[in-house]
Amino acid sequence: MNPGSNTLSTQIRRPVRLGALVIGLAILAGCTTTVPIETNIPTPLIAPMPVRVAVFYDPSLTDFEHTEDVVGGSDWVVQLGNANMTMFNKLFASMFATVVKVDSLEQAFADTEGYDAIITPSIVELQIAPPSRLESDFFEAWVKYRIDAFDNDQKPIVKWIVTGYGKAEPEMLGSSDALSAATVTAMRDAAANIVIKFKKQPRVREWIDAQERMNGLPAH
Amino acid sequence: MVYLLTNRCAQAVLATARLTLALSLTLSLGACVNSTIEQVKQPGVAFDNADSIVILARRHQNASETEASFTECVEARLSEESTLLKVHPQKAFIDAMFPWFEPGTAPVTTDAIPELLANPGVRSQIDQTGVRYVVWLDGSTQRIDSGGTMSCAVSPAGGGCLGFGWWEDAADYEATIWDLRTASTTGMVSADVSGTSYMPALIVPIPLIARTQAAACKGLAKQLSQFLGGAPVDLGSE
Repeated sequence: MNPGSNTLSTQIRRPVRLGALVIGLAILAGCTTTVPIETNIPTPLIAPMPVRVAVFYDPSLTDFEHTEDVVGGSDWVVQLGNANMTMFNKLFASMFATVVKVDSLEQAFADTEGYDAIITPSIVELQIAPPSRLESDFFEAWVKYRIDAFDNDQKPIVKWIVTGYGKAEPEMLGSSDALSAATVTAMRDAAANIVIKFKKQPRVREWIDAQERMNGLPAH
Repeated sequence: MVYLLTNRCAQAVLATARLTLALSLTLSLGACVNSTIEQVKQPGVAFDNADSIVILARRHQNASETEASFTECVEARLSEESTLLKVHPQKAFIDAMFPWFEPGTAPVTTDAIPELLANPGVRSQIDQTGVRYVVWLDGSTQRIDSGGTMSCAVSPAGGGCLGFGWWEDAADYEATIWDLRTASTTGMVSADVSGTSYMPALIVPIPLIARTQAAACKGLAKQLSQFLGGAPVDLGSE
């Protein structure tokens, strides 16, 4: 047995194994398509509510990813975290007179003088339906958010579920872009609902009226 | 001998090609569309060309919603039909009015216009865009029938298709014109277009497409142009 030949064999095998591993990983990676979502929701055309709010974004919202397993096709990983942040920052900046971002609910609850309310949005779920699943011509997306609002005594004002729906044609855009477009449309739909319907929630309306009375403003 | 075979083969291909061409020419006369364009206009309405219009599509959560391509086509053709009409870009209008003209929030009837305009900033933003008339497009193009059979084969000697296929599309669209200033419907235009396409195949499939949606777009845009005082119209079947 020549020790030199054994070393040579090992030296050859290592790169081969490494190469096989890299190829294997590349094949596995090829089975997943990552779709980062970017939104460009316009600035809402509304009058802000005359309240100061602290907003807390839970990491489950800001790091949100959804994996859609597609039978017989590549899986989709939809990254919604950044888009969620961008959307809510824009919406809340238009919906409330003053908005301050806080790092934790505890921090917001500790500063009872600084804010009139604490708001924390979360994402309940994102559903994606590729054309093959519904036998349609469209990618469809449904997004469901929850908005929790507390007054500065930590009492809940409202726990509100809001949904959005979107669809896009893959023929015109390509699958990845159509999936992204459907999700962006669903987010925009949810955003429109949040802007218009949040202050119409009976509990929110009551609370806003109370705040306006407290601040000497005429209640609606 | 080889020369003879090649010559025969070439003759057969030529004959087939001639037959396909003849069949295609015959059928091309049949691949046409039938259009019916109608309009209803409120009496005494006079459109002011100083104001802009915007073309918007009604969105539904089903497959038969108005195609984005159709809205873009009507918008583009309307601008081409008349230089007198000022057509405001759809996306710019919806973005400027966010969230009031989104699929789930846009007013469904003219009764909702006063309430919409009462929201802070909405009236001034509409004034800023210069839009007075909103044209709501509703409808879609659907495949209503199809038939025929075609089979294709590939061999080392070559490939080809044999058969005949056809399909019929129907494009039904309606445009409702709102006057935002008077909060009223000033008229409606509808386009009802059907077209049958054919695909004969003798070695090579030759699609003879009836451009149903394009015909509906053209007809609707022409009629809208006349309706809004932009240009004279030549109506009829195509």
